[in-house]
Amino acid sequence: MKRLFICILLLWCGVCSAQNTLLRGKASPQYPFLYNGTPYWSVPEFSRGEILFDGHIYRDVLMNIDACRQEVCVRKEEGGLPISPLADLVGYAIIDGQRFINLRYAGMPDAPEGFFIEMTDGRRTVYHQVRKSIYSEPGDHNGRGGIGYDDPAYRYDVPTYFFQTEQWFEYRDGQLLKLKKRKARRMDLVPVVSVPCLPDSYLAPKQTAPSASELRESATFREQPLSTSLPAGYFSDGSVSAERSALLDAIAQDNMIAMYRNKTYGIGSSNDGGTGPVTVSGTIRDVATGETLPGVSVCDANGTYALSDADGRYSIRLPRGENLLTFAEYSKEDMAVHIIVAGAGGLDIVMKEKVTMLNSAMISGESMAEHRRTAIGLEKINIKTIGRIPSAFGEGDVLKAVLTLPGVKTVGEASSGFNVRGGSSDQNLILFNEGTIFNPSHMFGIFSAFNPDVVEALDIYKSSIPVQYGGRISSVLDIRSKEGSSDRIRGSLGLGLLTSHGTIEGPIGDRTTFVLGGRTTYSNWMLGLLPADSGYAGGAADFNDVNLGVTHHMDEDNTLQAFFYWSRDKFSFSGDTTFRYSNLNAAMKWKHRFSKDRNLTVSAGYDRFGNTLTDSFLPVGSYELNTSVGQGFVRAGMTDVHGSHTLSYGASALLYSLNPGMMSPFGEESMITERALDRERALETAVYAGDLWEISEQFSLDGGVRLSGFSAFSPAKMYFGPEFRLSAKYSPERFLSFKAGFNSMTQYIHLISNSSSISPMDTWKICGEGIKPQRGWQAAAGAYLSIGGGKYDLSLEGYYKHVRDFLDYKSGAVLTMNDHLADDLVGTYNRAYGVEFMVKKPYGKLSGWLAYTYSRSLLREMEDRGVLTINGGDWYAAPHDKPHDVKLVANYEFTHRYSFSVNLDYSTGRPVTLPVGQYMYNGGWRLAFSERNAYRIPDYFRLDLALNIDPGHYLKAFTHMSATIGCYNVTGRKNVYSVFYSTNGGAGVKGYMISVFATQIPYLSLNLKF
Amino acid sequence: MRRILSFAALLAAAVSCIYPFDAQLPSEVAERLVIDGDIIIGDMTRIKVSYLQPIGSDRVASGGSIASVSVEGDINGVMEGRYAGGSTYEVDTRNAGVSSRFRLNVRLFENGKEYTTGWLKAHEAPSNPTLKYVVDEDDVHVLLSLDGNGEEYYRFDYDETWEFHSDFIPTHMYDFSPEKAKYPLVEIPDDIDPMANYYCWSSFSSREPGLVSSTALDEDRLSGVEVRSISREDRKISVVYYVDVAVRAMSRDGYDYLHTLEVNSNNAGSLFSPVPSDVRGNIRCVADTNEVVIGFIEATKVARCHMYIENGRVNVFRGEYGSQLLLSKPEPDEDGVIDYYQYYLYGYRPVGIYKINDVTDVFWAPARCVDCTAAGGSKTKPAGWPNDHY
Repeated sequence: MKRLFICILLLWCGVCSAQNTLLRGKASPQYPFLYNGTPYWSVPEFSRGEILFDGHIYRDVLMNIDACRQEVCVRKEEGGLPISPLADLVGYAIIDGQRFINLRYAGMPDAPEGFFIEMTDGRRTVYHQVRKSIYSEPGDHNGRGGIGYDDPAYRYDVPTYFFQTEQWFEYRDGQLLKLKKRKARRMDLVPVVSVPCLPDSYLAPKQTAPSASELRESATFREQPLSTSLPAGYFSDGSVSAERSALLDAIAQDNMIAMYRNKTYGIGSSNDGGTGPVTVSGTIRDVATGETLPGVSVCDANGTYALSDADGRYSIRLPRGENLLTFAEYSKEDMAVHIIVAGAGGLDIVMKEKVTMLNSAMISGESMAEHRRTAIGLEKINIKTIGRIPSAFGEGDVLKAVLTLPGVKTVGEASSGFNVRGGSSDQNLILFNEGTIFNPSHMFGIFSAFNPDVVEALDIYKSSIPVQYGGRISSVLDIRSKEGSSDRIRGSLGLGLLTSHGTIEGPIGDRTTFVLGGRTTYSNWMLGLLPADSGYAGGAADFNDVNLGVTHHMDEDNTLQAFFYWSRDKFSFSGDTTFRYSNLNAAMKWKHRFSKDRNLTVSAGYDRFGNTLTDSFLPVGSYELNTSVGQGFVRAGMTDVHGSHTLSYGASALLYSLNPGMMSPFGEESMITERALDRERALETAVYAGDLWEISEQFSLDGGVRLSGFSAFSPAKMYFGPEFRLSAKYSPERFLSFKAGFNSMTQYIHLISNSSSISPMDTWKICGEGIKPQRGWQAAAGAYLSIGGGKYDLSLEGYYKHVRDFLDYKSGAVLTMNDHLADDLVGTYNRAYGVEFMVKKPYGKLSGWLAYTYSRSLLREMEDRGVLTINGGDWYAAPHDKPHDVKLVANYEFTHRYSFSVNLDYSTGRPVTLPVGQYMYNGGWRLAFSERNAYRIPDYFRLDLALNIDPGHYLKAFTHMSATIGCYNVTGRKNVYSVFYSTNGGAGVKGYMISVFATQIPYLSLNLKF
Repeated sequence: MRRILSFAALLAAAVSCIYPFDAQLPSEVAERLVIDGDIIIGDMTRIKVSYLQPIGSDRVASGGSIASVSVEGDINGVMEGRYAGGSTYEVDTRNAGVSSRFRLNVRLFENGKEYTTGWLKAHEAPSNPTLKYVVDEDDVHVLLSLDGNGEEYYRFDYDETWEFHSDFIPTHMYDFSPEKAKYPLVEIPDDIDPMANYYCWSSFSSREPGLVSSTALDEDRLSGVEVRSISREDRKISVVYYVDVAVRAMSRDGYDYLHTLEVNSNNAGSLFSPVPSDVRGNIRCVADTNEVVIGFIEATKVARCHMYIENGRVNVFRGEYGSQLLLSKPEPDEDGVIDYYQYYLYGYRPVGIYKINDVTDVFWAPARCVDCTAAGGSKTKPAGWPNDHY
């Protein structure tokens, strides 16, 4: 009875799938490296048999079952690579008398993917499946439980092997129930060896509508004769035949979810009558967590290319007909999807975490992306790479990872912020989700402000800044937190020497996910354990941060997200002076899809950064000094795809509110008068429009205009800033491209500082009377070449940047609580230029990059103030001017669990102002200084090493532990952060240097995921 | 566990270090004139004229008188100065009044260049400067209070003098006479006062002005401004301590100038220190206004206040005397000679000899412990000192 039922189902499905001219098979993926065992069901040899494919029965075909991919592989008589007929269309295969059934094809949509052997003990029908996975781990795996074979030819020098698992199911009460392996083994099962149901049975009417194939027309099959050989052209390419239009229309659905490789998905309807290219779009997600995946390259067989956006959405123009769409992102396994495009449509994709690289000649998605995208100076790093880069104290550090990129520098190891292509640290727009981060560091630069467990990936735009971004001159660092897992509650916990961090994420109902992360340090109470004579017992340093992200998918076209971020730092060297600062960001984001080609994103929120200095050295003079910058924002942006044009347009508004300084008494004895500088308020607005025009596969243009306006309220002052963005790409070969770009920017907010790096008491100041906006432009050009079939990416970029009204301070300037701050500041020109060369190996056992940068960044005071003009009005080096810069980041994977990371950093020493003479004054020695930044500190060199131990591949384990053991500054070089001379209270002049990490710093970091 | 955590914390704290550094700076510097001092209303004005020197110089080059210095008042007229040795020039401004405006003029003999400050407003001295001290667990804090006269910016300098004594009053001395060569340690004869080098006096003048402002306060009145903080174990306060503080008002520009000098000279180098910068004073070369001249001159009146701290009365000293005593048990060589001279050569002096049960013990102490002059003290007792020590 059961057999009959299965036969009926098979027949019905076969009816539905009848089309003998349907899809040609693609070459089966190969396993080119040495391995133990076989990917096939039992033996690697191919045997003759019979296959029901797409309603046709083919006999005397050489076949085998690939148990890894759960596909049938067929081979031509004359040899050659095996072909994998699309598994969806394979009903069964009989090989060596053993029948392998596709239960889904047979009408069991909930059945596991793949093929099963039908067995019976005379009473019950049982389905048995062998599945295999590829693993790489040294050791003896031969004959051990689960391996599934005991091979006398087992090669112990080869770590890669195929791991076998078995599944048993019983068909009972109309359901497929899982059966324990032990129980199944006890049953007296024998394979059902029989001729499949006759064609007449196949023609039985459809009973239910459980599968996707229900939309296919049964009549089609009736007209088809049985075949005894593969159809003509089966092994060759072909085009879509007109006769299939109706079928294609029928199977077209709105955004099907493609989960399986090498299967065919029909897209769109041919009813539009068109013949030209159409747009296919969708969302790409992680199969395990449901998170959207940005930065995935989407490429068709002809090289047409697209990239998924920050929300994981992609849109690509494809010709009608058959195509192979490849999705690549180098932390995920590549996904190849056969599609038949009848018209515009949607196709959502799920990708899974990369376990192993199956094909060493595979082109990385990032390589392709570099050649395909028009933007110049765009770098992307995912969290996996960040975690591999050794950092002080072992915690994966987002900003330290950014600093390994060419063109990104910092003035010193304990420096907040970074410098991009000669720009100052306040010229970087740091976005965390939608919020602006004004101070991206904890402990003044030792740790970054971003919890590595929460961050998904980051993009840094060094040159071509998209038109939707504005407000900063030099760069945009766009950091995105991940979406919460949609399948189950997951979490992670990281323990380091000084910090701990953790996250928890998961679904709330069917449509909502959340991710909550937190981080803290225990250095504060640990410092308290130090003996009193250590010199640090009176100090305190601690920080915390909290992230929360909630994503609610209202429906197919609407997504609502909420983000919250808060951080707090407290630091004191002694008991009487305390620094505190905090970041706060809260934002809502609504994403709406009008159609597959048109998306709207609206966000609104509030950002705040505040710092407080408490000085209680003198009871009567004790005070608390507060400064803050806050901004409320609204942004709306549309993306509109029209053929080869991708239009971006929108508007934004920022409402600033700054407290430039408020001093208040601290303690009962304080005689300090409360005093506050006037609060500054202003509105910054912008409208923009841009177009990415993909003129051809080789040539594309990306241009846009951004019109920004700034209005300070009191005193009233207005500024306007038209900004232009233009970049072009020419790619004469698949692996060779040339790019050039120009962009102009305007910045209406300045960080007022007279220290080398961002200090706690630096204050933000918006434009107003006497403070003009910074305006700048950058021109850049680059060449990009991938060699070794995409194994190595080479890039060479050059740039020239010019900025005016960058603020520097006058000698002797007073920057805090200054009513007339503008009088102590001077506008300067900043010119920067450089060349960046990078060799990158994006994947493989050895991966990483080597970068060299030559760059200069120079300043010159704009106004001639006679003898007071800085350096006499000549160009002088900016504090972050470090001409030579070499960076090496490498990771070598011994196995899938063990890898070794190296980080090397060399740069020219930064400029400093040193004393050139001394003189006696007021009874003590004083110092006379050189021209500003006339000298340099010694060159910087640092080597870090780390051993990473990843969790084993026990996929069913509840927790996965990973560990990193490393050493920061392996050579123990005393890198100079700062050089200074002191008169020691007037007694005599001595030179000193500060080295922040003056010795090796070994560390151990543990991470637990569940 | 605690040890592990302590190690981790130490690791974090100890990684940041300060080391000596030699930046290979130029050995020659540009010729830059330094004019140091203020025009003191109602007292003698002392102006120092010198030149910038290379880093590492340990003394001000003095080639005798190199300039003529004068103070010009819009009421008093020109008051010529005189060379007072070293690099100092004195101008008698005792008859000047604060209602006048003044300017300093300097003319170099070498090239005839003239330098001037321009007319300076005279600043009135603050009223009622007073000192007090407070004692906490570890330190004695000398605090200054004053009533301003609307000037808001003030500087103070101090001179301190203290009496201290040596650790021991010796009973024996080293006798170098040949007849005592075999046993040179002799009892101090009656004609030598063993207390002669017991009490000493020492002094110190501040090398950097203290700067204080009342701009952030409710009124132009300062209270509890710390002038000095002295450890309670410091011998400065072991007997009698005296501090004399000179307070003067100044301009905002002068205040900023000195503040920048202070920051540049002492506070540079921390992670968030301002980048050092050169600042310009208020002295100009008449012939070349672009010439850089170091110095900021004020015309101001000085107010003074002083205070004694007598440990015998208030018992603030917690330090120890006599801790460095060395005991030797003489062992004669084959000739029966005891080599005491080696102790002398190592800087030790005999304190006393004690014989108990035929065993002789000689106590030695470093020279500074039995002779206060060897500890840097002076036997010159300041006038008006409030005890009869000698």
